[in-house]
Amino acid sequence: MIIPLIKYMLASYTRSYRYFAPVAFILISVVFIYSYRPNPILDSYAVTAVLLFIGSAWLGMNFLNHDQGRQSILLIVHSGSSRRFYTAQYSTVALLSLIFSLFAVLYPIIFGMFDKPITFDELALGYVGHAGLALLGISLSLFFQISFMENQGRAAGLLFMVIVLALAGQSIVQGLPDSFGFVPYILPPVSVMINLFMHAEGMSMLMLTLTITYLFIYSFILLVIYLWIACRKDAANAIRKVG
Amino acid sequence: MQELLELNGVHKRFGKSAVLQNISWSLSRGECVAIIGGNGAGKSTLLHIIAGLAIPSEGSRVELEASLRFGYVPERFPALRFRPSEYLHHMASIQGLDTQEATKRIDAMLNVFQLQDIKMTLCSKGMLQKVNLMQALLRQPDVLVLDEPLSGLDESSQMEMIGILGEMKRQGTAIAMSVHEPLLIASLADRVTQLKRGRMERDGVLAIHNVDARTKLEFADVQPDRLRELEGEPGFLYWISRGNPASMVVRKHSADDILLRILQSGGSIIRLEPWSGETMEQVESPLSQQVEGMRA
Repeated sequence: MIIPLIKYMLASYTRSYRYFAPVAFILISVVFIYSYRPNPILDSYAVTAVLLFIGSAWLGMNFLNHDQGRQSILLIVHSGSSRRFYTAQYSTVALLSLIFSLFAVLYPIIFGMFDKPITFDELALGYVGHAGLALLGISLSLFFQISFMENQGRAAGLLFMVIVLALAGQSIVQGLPDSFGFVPYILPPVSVMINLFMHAEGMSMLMLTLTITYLFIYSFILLVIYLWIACRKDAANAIRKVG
Repeated sequence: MQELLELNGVHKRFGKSAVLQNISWSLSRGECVAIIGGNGAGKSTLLHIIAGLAIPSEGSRVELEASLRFGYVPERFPALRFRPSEYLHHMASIQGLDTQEATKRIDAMLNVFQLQDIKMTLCSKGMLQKVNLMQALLRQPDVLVLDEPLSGLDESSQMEMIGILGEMKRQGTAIAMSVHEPLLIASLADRVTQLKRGRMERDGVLAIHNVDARTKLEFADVQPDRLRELEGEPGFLYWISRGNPASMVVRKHSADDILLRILQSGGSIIRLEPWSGETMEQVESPLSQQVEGMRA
């Protein structure tokens, strides 16, 4: 019963036209990055993956708030469980971000924007990296939606700060002793992924796999925490906040 | 009657404020309970707890039958960017209803509710309220929870709604509703639960008084000033609708005289039928007189 929920949410979101700003941001920024050629493959992917991370966090918040919770309570009643509803909500926006990841990875290949032909390993690393960062953006946005933070101005500001910290993770610890090396991993590991894209050629397969797995596990843990909190909240909260 | 749901010593707090205190309450199959009380009495919160949409801060909510199906009708229904049929089809498939069965059911409901299938953004509040009720009735629920179901409806829609809820009740659906309208309490409720500042003041079965036989008269084309005169007739009980056509309930032994007055006033009779709904007096009299079998 998750698929009908996803279909409804997609229909509801696309009819709201609220998606225009974050979607335009993602599409235009990718096209803008490749406005001239040639471009180095993994360095360009590092930039578009970061833009996708920011765009996905925006898209996530935009999607989760598009109905202002007006239908949440009825969707929970109809689907029979709040866990099913929240999972469907996450899956819907995750699906959108995976499609945009595909766009960001394939666009430069289709239009021949790279300086050399792309290998399969680079393509796989490119897509997994984009998808991982996009999911991370969405997982972060879960905690800044209206049902978690009523004051949406403050929520947008806080999410922006988290994004900046995530991007700056490696730079923050640069001047600090080695014992602070774990900090970029505790923060949303965006800077770790940028580093991976930039220096992928010198890294072992094991290191690449572990880093990417860590990125997905980080998003998954955020999702589990979110579901744990959301399912323990009163579903009726949404109605009280809107009405 | 078979009990479906039980609340035992339920408290609900939002921060420091206690919205519900020590509520022990139950609902049985085919039973209709009206929850009444002033603004802020905790009616909506109690309904949320009954429907399983809010978790009690203390006490327990027990479903006495496995996999009870709930229908919930919130007080307000938003104007979504869907046509009612589209929206209802989505809800039906979310519930796991087969497409053909859903189409049949939705078409039948649109017919019964006489609802135009236009975009909900163009619908009136009353039309939205109909969609609101329809979404809860897609599959017959075991427990139907309604928050002010008649708000925003015109008189004829109110009567339709009462008819439909009565039918659901006859089919065994248990109904819990918060209401202000005496008509709805009189027509449907078996029991009234009264809340005051989060505490249950009364919870009792509605008394069925021996009343005179009554007749419902439906007629058209009587001028408003003449309608007022009809109210003065001995045997007049109450209006169901003062529109055109108008409809009133009178004592059976006075029906002939009132019929004659309607015809003399230039009106024409549309329908005359025995009326089996409860009387308005029961509702309009102080609650303390109506409520028996105190349990609170």
